[in-house]
Amino acid sequence: MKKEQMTPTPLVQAIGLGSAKAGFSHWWLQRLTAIFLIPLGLWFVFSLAGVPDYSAATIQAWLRSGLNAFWLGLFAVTALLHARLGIEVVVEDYVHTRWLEVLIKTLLSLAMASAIALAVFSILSLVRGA
Amino acid sequence: MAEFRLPKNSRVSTGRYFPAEGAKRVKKIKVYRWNPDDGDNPRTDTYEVDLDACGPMVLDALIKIKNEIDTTLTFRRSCREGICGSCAMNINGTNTLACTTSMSSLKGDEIAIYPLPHMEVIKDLVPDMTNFYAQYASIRPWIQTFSVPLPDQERLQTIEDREKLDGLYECILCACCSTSCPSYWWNGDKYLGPAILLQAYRWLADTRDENTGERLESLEDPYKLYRCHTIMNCTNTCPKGLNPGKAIAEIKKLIAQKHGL
Repeated sequence: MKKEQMTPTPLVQAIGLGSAKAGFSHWWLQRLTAIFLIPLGLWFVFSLAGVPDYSAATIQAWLRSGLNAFWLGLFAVTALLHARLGIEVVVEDYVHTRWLEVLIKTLLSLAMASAIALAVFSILSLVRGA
Repeated sequence: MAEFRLPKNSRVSTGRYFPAEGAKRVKKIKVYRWNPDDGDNPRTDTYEVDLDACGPMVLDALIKIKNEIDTTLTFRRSCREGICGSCAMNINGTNTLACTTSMSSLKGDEIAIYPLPHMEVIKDLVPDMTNFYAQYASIRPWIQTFSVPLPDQERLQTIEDREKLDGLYECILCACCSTSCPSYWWNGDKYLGPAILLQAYRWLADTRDENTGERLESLEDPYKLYRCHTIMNCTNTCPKGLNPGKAIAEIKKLIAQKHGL
């Protein structure tokens, strides 16, 4: 109990820097990606269940048939985007050391952008490769 | 970053035991004790209370202990009928009001009483509510208007519009919900918490208030509002049977609408 502490007043501390006037798009995108992941996830599981074996050649052939490569790319990007939003929330919830929070969120953005690029690149390579 | 144990000076030890001589029906009341002046760690003292010489509620037992067994026991209480919110505390693991919780509704022969979780303790069962009240003040919990009212009449409201405040105006700001919320435990300095957000919605839902836009603007924030992850401990624990979780969802819906959804 610091009774002698007069400033900043408790009200100033509660207001802090004021509202960021943001947060809705993060919240909404997290829910949108979650909803999209239901059909995409089901498609992914059932499509892969229908593949006779998991050899490189079979998977390559599967990717090249119809729109499979497109759906797989959409699934990967949506899942990674959802993961990024979710992990960000977890970090904001639990990491209270300011510099560490900023560092983790920065690395997270970089890692997830790389993961999305890698996923798209890999799918394209498989489709176009020999 | 993460702490998995309580700090050394917060670890609770077992304290004194006060038996009730000659009592036939006995309830053991285990109470969290901490005194800022003696430099000791917190402890739990256990008092045997003679149920044949005590009122039915948990608050009755606490008052009996303070009057007859141990005058040093410190707790807040006032109205003893669930309208002031002073005696909010953690009873058998649930945040509730001691005055509206009957001892017979609690299972087992021991009742464990702790202060509201994750608040700084001033003494025994008395938590420091400074930040909680400051957060309440920060949402400007009063009517804000721009139109000039007629000089000879109140701001009238239809019965239907008045009904929109049902389930909101009953909140007594006891802080049971906010202190049951993990998001408020981890980020209580920045997250407003369910009680304050329910109060914020109470003014958004009031058709007489004319500052909805600005109110929503000052709420849209990753920490002030969106720390709510719909855990629903708030609704589960509210001793008045209110639904802060739903009020927060309504705020999120209004903000979505503001953004064109």
